Amino acid sequence: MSDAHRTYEIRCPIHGFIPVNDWEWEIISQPAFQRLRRIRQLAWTDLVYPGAMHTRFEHSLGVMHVASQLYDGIAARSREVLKELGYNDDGLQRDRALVRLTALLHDVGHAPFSHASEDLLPARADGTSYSHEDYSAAIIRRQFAEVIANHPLNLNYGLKAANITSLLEGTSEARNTIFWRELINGQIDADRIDYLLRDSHHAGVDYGRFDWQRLRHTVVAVRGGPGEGPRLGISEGGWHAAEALVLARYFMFTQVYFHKTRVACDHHLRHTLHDLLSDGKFPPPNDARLEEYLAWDDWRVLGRLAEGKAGEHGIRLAQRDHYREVYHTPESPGAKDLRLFERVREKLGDLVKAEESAKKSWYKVGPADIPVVADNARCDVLPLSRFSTFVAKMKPVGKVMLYCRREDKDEALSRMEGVLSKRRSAQ
Amino acid sequence: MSSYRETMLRRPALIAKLVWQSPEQKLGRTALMKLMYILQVRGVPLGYWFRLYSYGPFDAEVLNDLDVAKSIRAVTERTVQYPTSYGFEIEPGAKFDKLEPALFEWLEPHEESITWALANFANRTAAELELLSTIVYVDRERGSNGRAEIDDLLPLVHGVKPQFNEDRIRQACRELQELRLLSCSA
Repeated sequence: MSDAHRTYEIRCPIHGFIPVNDWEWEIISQPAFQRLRRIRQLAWTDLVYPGAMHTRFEHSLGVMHVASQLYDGIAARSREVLKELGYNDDGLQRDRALVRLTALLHDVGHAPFSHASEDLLPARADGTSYSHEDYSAAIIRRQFAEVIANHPLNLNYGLKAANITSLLEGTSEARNTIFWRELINGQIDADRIDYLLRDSHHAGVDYGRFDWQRLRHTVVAVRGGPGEGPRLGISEGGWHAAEALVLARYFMFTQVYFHKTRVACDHHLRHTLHDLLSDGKFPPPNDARLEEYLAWDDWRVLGRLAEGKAGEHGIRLAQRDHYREVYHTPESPGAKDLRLFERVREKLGDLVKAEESAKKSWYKVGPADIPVVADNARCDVLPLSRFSTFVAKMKPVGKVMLYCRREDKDEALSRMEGVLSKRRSAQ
Repeated sequence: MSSYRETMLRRPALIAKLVWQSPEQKLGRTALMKLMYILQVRGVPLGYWFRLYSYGPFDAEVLNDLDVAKSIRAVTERTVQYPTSYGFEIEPGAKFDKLEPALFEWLEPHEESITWALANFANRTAAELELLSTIVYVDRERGSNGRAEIDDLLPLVHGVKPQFNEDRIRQACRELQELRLLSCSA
């Protein structure tokens, strides 16, 4: 029997030592959490950036660490707003534990190779697709309920798996704790902060770095207008750090997450998995099939690949013989660009083997405006775009890319030439 | 079959249409977000994935679509400063009337819902919209189908929106029942 008050430290390449209590340690030790060691964070991105071999395991620890640092900052600086939400010191202590556990467990539902395979999650009865969050919630309810509820450190808090899933899924059972959902899934959330820093580090790029320490020392709870719910924002001193976060999202999206070769590999992975899975989809997140789902991880897929049982797309991944990009629109295409895209698409005909759109990507640059509390006597709240010219001028990334087989690339370029030269002469 | 352009621009086109048809030809961001939510509840196939926050149902995709609508100049947006906070006002853009009719064809079966939603929700305050949409969200989450009562929703809604007392929430529930947006009974 472990000492319930023992603490542990886990080394992290981003945050140094991450302190973990015995309760969290037990959760981390569960097989469903250890599975995250076998789910790569960025799928096949290592075919472009060889260092990007890190896993959801270290990211999940990082998110817990970042979430609690943000939480502590808000709790220290926004007492009045939190009081209006019904918080006293005991409540804040309890919800700190809740936020840490939710952050720790938010990704336990990921499929092999993370977001890259998310399109293969099955549909609900209403026709919409399940997300990895639905799987996370189901796994927390089924696999973690006991270890969450029964640890001695939980005696004062009485937290249950349902407290975590309601915050994770955004349901009304979360009651006033719903405010903290923005720390898990919002504009300045712990997930985003950790993955930008971590993915940058492992990919060996600087695009995702920003002054997150400044951010955590300036994040606050911001009142809305009368009767409106509060949201997360930053005090004026942190607006450059917030601007850098927004820019980091943009750079990482364009340079890493939506890199043409990474996107091609995601396409091959989806087809590989489609061939490997019965019915071409992962099992749904119900009690009867959850174990079956959890048995899928990167190792299992890679094993099939190594055995040569992963079809044509698996061979392409194994041999780095991915489809080649032959055409892409500008990053923020206008109506004319999209019409040209359609003409090119038509000319290429059956040479097009994949059409990939930023709009459908799991990573998004996303909306950029964050509330900023001004350093004036009235504490006016203004949007970040009022401070930052960059943020004010940002446009949505709607790039679309067309791919063909490597051996068809010359033919594709020649077929497009007519359409593109007409466009050039019209300019 | 829809072209890629049509698929990409159909929701931004709806945003422009909502702004154009709103009573004063302007909408706030909260109004836009909650109108999209109500329209999806009413069966318009928008494909958003709304989740609950302390400010009501929200999906960042709506704001992404707003950014696209702005980038093609179907709408414009400006910041409006209130005594201590701010909001956004969205108005028709210079290129609104250049949007192709094909971008609106998918909305034809839903014209009545759009008119109805604008008439009942476009002119409300952000606070009211947050409350009303939260009640609808909680009611649907309970999947009550007439089995639950307003009293079952009150503590849940109050938990998420402590800014409103139970009397105010009850009054809002009744209003939504009259609009046939709730499945719970009185």
